[in-house]
Amino acid sequence: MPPSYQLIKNAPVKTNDTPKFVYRGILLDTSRNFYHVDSILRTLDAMSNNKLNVLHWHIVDAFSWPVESKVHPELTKKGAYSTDILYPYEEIKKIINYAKSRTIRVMPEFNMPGNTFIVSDAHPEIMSCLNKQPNWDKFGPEPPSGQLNIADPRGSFAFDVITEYSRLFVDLGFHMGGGSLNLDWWKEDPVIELYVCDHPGESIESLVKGWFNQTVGKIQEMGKVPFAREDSMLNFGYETKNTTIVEAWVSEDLVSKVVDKGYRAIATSWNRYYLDCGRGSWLSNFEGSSWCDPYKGWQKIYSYNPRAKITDPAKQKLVLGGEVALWSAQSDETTVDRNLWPRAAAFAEIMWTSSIDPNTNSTKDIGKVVQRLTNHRFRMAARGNMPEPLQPLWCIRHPESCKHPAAL
Amino acid sequence: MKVAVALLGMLSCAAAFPWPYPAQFDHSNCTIKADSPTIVAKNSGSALLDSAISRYTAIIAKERFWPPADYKLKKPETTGTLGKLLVEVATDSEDLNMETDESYTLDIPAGGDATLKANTVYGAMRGLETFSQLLATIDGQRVVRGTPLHIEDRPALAHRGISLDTARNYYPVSDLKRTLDAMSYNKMNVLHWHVVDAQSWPIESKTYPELQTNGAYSVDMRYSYKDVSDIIQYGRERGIRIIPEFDIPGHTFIVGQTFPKIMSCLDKQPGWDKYAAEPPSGQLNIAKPEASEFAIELVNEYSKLFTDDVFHLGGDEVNRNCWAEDPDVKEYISSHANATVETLLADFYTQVHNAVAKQEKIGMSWEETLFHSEYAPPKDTLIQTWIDEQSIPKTVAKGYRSIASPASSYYLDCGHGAWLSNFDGNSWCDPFKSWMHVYNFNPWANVTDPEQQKLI
Repeated sequence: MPPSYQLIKNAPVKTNDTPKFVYRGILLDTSRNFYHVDSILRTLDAMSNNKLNVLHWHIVDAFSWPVESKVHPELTKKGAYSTDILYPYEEIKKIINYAKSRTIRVMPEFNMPGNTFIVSDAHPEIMSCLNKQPNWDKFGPEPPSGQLNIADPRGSFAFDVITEYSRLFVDLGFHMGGGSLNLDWWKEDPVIELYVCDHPGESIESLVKGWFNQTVGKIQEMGKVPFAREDSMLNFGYETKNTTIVEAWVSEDLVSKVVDKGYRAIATSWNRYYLDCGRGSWLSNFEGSSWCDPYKGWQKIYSYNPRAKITDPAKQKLVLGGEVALWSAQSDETTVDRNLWPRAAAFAEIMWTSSIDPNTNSTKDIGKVVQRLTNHRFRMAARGNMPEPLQPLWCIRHPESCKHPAAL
Repeated sequence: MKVAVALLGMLSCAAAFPWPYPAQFDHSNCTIKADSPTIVAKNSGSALLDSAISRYTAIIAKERFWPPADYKLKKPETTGTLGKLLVEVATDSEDLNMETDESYTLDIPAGGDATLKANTVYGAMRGLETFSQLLATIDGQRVVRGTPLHIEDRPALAHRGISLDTARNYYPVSDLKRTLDAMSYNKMNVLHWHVVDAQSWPIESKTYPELQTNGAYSVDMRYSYKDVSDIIQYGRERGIRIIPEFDIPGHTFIVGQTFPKIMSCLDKQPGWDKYAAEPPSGQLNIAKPEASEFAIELVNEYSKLFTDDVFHLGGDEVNRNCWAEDPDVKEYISSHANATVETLLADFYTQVHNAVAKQEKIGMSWEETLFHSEYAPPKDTLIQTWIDEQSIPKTVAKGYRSIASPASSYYLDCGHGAWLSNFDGNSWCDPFKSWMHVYNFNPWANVTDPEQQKLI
């Protein structure tokens, strides 16, 4: 039986602690599949156990619109998976307060103009290329296709969304998305074709740039700091004011490119930090890998330092931090704990302290790291989370014996 | 408009039909109310049948399952009401083995009593599960859709199992029971319990109590005799056999925590990969009679605790270097003409498989015993194939029964990368086996002879 008294080992203990990165986040996608509020609160508890401080809430996407809207209530009525499967205003406020008392910011993402099929359930008239089948892949990164019609003169929808949710979500950051856009998707839309014909000098590209201009402007008008994915910033030659914070997700090298352009960066490279990868494709008739396989093991996460390839200290400071992501095509509240933890804990240590031992200035011994991480995983489990195991439990008392000889 | 709604209703009602899909399923299109169906046994001499009926009565009483495919549907119109489910079982036999008849027929008319008929109580259990899955609660109204319906169902394969390793990491008894419940919802009928391995020995032994004292991860991470008997009974009530595996002679480092003297190559570091498939290395020392005596005692003890006809002896990933470098093995070989590591291994297998037969059990082994040793197992030994899919046709070509579990399709743990601390690459069996990949695997592939197909 474990002892019934508590011990403090190695007393006296003195700790002087401060994080290496100010932005230490988790992205949670609650659109592809739903997470009841209690699972989000549990996730916030787990984040506080790991000194993580931002919940980047990817709350809507093509698949569902679970968040209440007072401006466009039909969005939720038609777009939520069912009448029980949604986040009313009071629940959002509850989550924001719960997070705040754990020093966690809740930053919402309303990704536009792409990945917005679900808006069509309520407003098909403002959309392009809805649910093209079977060749959805010409019109979007995954089914169902659909994006806002960027030439639609009625287009106040995006402004409505920004206005409403800038007020509901109190955080200074407002994420506008903008990732994985392909200009070809709008090519077959008649309204766009007409617009471009009627406006010589304009193109789909100029429409997209105009779109981003206006979106960034609106967000700033609401007193918020815009966050965006790097491809919208870098791919279309679009230059925004460097008050926008840019998330580099496509590759690790892009973190350097982003700060070279003077933007503040959040490192969220998919090949290190996308925690959903490794379960194969989710398309019903395809048994191959998903686009981002393989699984990102804790070792791969722990060995990555987002500032590593940046030598200029001023640019290093522009790397505000990083984010691990849980995209939910194959995840919901039944899998959230094991998908996030303890890999997000490995990430959390790199964000707070790094993999260097402050006492010796050399890389920590990985056997001891996983021993401490496994202990931590059991502590989190005792507190009500369900993190997955990393190794046979035998290894925790034999940290030297579970290594690969060739990699030594 | 009504027609369209009705059609939409039927389209999504197909989504709510049973899993696994029955062998034969005739359904029509009448929706009937099923507010509180009761289940009555027409004839019952079986406590197991009574317990199954209680269990499904409780499940049905508590469950108001609204299939997500139907979340947007409104309360359905109904044309009749379901009465009782009458269950009729031909025999009282409670024998649970590979030959057990699990077939059943289920008839639900467009109103009135439904009937479930089976040859054995286990067939009745399968039918009760199907019946429970035909109930759906749409917008507050519980119904059966598709009546009158007629199901004739039987499994295509007799051994439908899950192999669970409780040695690398421990699973509390409640997890095992919940797994047995889940298996019963899917008509699976074998839990192959890989209870010990190199890393831990959680199960009680009355012959060698220190195996558990020294080998379990903690006092809470154990299975007592009572736990094991509970689990066996829990499985039986769900028509699930529990086949234990005591994997020998490889994968036995943990035995060395109590009996180091009967072991070879214990925890070789850092180059464990020369002596084992994973750390810590350690195999029973086949040059020592005490090692096979130990193994025989294990067979004797656990053949009695585990009531199933089948006893799994393991035999996978047996490393020859481990013994080639062992001083006792080398000594034995130099002092016995014609002795080699292979002959010693074949002797070992002979002894333990004989011990299994003596306990009137059927042996089960990983494919290496058949294909990578000089030993020829008894003809009734079940051979479990895991290395690749071609092992299945090879096994049945040799006249042995095959339990198919190719890593490339059926190893559900794969896809998490390597677990070794300092290595961030893939595990040996990545990538993840998605459900489509599992669904697409055909165990009979490349076996054309119908007599051989029966052996799978």
